[in-house]
Amino acid sequence: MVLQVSNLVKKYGNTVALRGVNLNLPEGRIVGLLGPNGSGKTTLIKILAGILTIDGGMATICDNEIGVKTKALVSYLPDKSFLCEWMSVEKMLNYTKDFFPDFRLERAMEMVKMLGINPKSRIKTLSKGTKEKVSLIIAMSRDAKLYLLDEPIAGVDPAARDYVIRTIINNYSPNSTVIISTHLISDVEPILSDFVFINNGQIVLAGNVDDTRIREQKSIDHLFREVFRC
Amino acid sequence: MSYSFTNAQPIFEQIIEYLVVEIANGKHEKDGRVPSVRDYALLFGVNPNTVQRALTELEREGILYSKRGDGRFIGDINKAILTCEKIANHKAKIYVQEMKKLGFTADKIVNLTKEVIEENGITSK
Repeated sequence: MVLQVSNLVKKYGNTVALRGVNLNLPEGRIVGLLGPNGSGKTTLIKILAGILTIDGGMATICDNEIGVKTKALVSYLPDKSFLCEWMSVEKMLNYTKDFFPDFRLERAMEMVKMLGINPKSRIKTLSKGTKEKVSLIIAMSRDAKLYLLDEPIAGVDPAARDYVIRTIINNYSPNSTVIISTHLISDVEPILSDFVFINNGQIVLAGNVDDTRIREQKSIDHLFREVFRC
Repeated sequence: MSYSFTNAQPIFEQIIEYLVVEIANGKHEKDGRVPSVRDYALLFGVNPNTVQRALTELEREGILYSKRGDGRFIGDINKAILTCEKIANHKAKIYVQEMKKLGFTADKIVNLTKEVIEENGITSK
C-alpha cells in the first residue's frame, strides 16, 4: 500500500476539518479526490504532504509515518504558486534538484522546451497558465511514490488542461500513485482509475471508476452531482 | 483531445467499440502490431488501466493476441466484423425504436432512412 489512512482527524481551533477519514491506496492508481469547496480536500493533501499535523488517527506512506522520510517519497503540487518569482525557470529547476535527489532535471528541461518556454525567462514574466505548467512539470519530474496534485487544472485554459492530463498519463507508472484533487470532474474523469468523494471532512463514497460506471450506468461527474445536490 | 467519450457507458467499452470498428474496417492488417497501452492511453487521453482492460477483453475474444514481451497483434478480423455487425444491429434497434416513439410507421421510417442515405452520399460499396 502506498497510502494508509485511518480515522484521521484534523481540527482548526473549534472547526473540525477532517472527522475520521479512512483511505487505503495501492500502487499504480490515479485517484480523483473530489468534493465541494470546504470539504477537506486540501487539508487531507496538506497532511499527506507533511505540511499540517494530525489531531487524531494515523496516516502512513509506504509504511512510514508522515515526516522527513515521507517528504522524500511524496511529490506535492500546492494549490497556490510555490515558484520563486525572481528566479529563471532554469534556476528554479536546479533549485528543486538541490532539495530532491529524485528530481530528473533533464526530463524537466525537456518538458519546458517542448512547451516553448525559454528556460532563461524569469518566473515573474510568465503568464499564470505558464506558471502553472512549470509547477506541474516540477511536481511530475520527480520519481516519487505518491504524487499529490491539488487543483492542477483549475486555473488553466482547456488546451492547457489537455497538456496537464497528457503529462499525468505520460508519467503513469505501475509503481506509484497519483492523487488529483479537483471539482472539474468531467475533465479528469477519463484518466482516473479510482475516485473518492469527500464531504464535511468525511469520505462519503469511493471506488473504481469503470466498475462504478457499469453499476450506476452513469459517469462519476453525474454521480457527483447526485450525491452533492444542493 | 480528439476523442470524446459519452457518459453512460464505461470508457473501456467505448474503447473496445472504437478498436473493433477500426479492425473490422480494415485499418489494421492481420498479425500487425497494435500501439502500446501507453500510446493508446495518450491517444485517447484515458487511464492506462482502462486501456489495459479494453485490450485484455479484445484478447479474450480472440480479436487481438499477445506475445510475451513483444506487444499485441491483430488476431481474428472476422470476429471483429461480427462484433461490429452486432454493434450496428444494436444501434439500428435504438434508431427504429426512437422513430416508433415519434409515431413513424415502417414505410415512413424506410423512406426517411433512404433520403438521409442519399443526402449523406453513402454508396452501396
